[in-house]
Amino acid sequence: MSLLRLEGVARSVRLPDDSPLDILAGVDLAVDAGEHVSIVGRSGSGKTTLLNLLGLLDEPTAGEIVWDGRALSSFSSRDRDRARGRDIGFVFQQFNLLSGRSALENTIVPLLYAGSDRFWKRRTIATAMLERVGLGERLASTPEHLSGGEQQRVAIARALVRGPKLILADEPTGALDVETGARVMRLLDDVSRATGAALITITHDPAIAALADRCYRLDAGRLAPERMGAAA
Amino acid sequence: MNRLREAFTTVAATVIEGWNELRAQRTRVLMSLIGVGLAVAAITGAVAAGSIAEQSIREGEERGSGRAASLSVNAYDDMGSSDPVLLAERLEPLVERFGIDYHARRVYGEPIALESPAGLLRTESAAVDPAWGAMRRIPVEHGRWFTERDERMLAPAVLVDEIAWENLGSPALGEHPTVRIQGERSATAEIVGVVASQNSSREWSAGTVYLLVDDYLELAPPLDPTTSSVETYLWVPEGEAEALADAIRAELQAQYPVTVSVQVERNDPAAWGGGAATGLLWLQLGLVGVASIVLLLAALSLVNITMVTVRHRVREIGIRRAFGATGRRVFVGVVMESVVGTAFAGVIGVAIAVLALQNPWVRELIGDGIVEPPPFPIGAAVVGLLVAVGVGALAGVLPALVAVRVRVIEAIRF
Repeated sequence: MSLLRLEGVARSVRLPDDSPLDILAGVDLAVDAGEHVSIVGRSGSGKTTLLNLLGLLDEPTAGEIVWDGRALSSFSSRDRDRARGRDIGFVFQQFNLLSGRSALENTIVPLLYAGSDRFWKRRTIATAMLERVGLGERLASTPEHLSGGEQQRVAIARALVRGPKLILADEPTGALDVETGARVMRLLDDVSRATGAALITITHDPAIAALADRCYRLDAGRLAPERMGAAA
Repeated sequence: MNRLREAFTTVAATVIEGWNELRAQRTRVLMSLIGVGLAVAAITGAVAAGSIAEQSIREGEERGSGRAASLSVNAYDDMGSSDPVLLAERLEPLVERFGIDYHARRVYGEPIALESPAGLLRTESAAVDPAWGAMRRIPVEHGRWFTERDERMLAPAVLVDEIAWENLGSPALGEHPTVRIQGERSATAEIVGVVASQNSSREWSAGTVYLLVDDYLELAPPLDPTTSSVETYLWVPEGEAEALADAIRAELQAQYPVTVSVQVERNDPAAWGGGAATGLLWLQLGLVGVASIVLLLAALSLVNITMVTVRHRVREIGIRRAFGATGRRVFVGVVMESVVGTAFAGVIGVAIAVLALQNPWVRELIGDGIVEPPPFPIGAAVVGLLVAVGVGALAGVLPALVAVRVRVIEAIRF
């Protein structure tokens, strides 16, 4: 059974003149547990909308999303929020760390919404995760005092701290230089494989896309398999 | 049990989240909360100061007219004269029968001459029974009030007010000072205490000397019914005052001929609606009203600052939503930030009010001569804190509504 399955998913919005604008159409995708998938696409191709849907942040206007064997249409808004917090970890292009808060406090954020056991052990769990991404010495550092690569490692620790089944990485190396980006990507790949989490990377960088088991291209709202060598 | 633990965890996590947010944005929060803290201090202070001032006014009124409920007992014949000795004799068994613990006579008599270092001092006289001190809250500044033992002493005991005490050279009470009384008969009396002066003018008064009634009647010239009188007062439970007055009036009247009219009247301030303290209530309400307007402005400022920074918060809220915060949790979280902040400001505000009202200068100003200073009214502190929390909740609702409408991905990419 796939962890996540999109079946004929479409998403459209109404324009001010009441005409429909199709952003995604007929998207089919299946991602298994522990699998690494990359999606490439230009600006305006519908990547953000697809990310909303994959992250259970939005609902399709047609088709069905099946999450962990259960149709998304049967989820209440609260169920979606809870499933997202419990099972999905996000890594963003601009890191999106909370300013003024230490690396440890940032990594703790998802644990504030976890159950009792993890909430009361939040400092221990978050410290262990930061040590795992090599930031055991920078627990008290705020984002303002961390390099770009270090910030993204904090973001990875935050995404993994609740042990998600799926990691959604949205342009994870977009704000990093090539060398740092490659190191961060290797770390993300290693840690997600070690934890058994599936990884979906949305990127415009063919080198990053090529690290995945499978690659797709999103073009004008349609998703199609991409040959690894042709990802550029 | 598990559900309870989860609920407790959610509350704890929300408070911690709110506190962390306040800590991270302390400068902004501090600026916006100054007004709230000051307004809470003003409201709490006004309520508490009002209660102290009310106590001060009440004590002043009670010194003049008696504590609730005070009954005055008189028996005048149709010529307007009375026989205080006979009245005392007839009242005594009634007082015992009705279990009235506090009863005292007060003689409004002639001035008394004291020998002082500067010569003969003509002081006002206040002849009373020992119970008078408690019945009228007489503030003893030094030494002690009369006891029943003083009635049995051969040498009279006296108390003097501060003016008379100063005129006598402020003798140390520890050395058992005496003063020579010049009257119909002369006697040497021991000064056992000094009371606060009821007469503010040192220029026109040589002070007041308090004597026990029996000592006064022995030392002073015979009472002139046209210029002197002996009044008898009873201090009874407020709820029984009317019934006791009727019963005592009827029983006394039965012992006098019809030409004598017995009057038992209630004359304490509570009998006529609380006196000056009622006017104070309006002043207090006015102060609370002004402070409420300040609080409202502070709350609007808090809402304004929170809304202005919502641009900054949109991204953070998006991040929290992405990591599992439900809409309800975000709403409660934002309201809680505001509540935690204003509650903190409220605690500081209440502390400022408490410290200000403990200041001896302030106490002197609003509670001058108070015998039983009231403790800081807990009600005022509770009102201050509730107002602060309420303002926080109200000020947090608008930003919280904005926060739950945040679209996560747009917010994160903001």
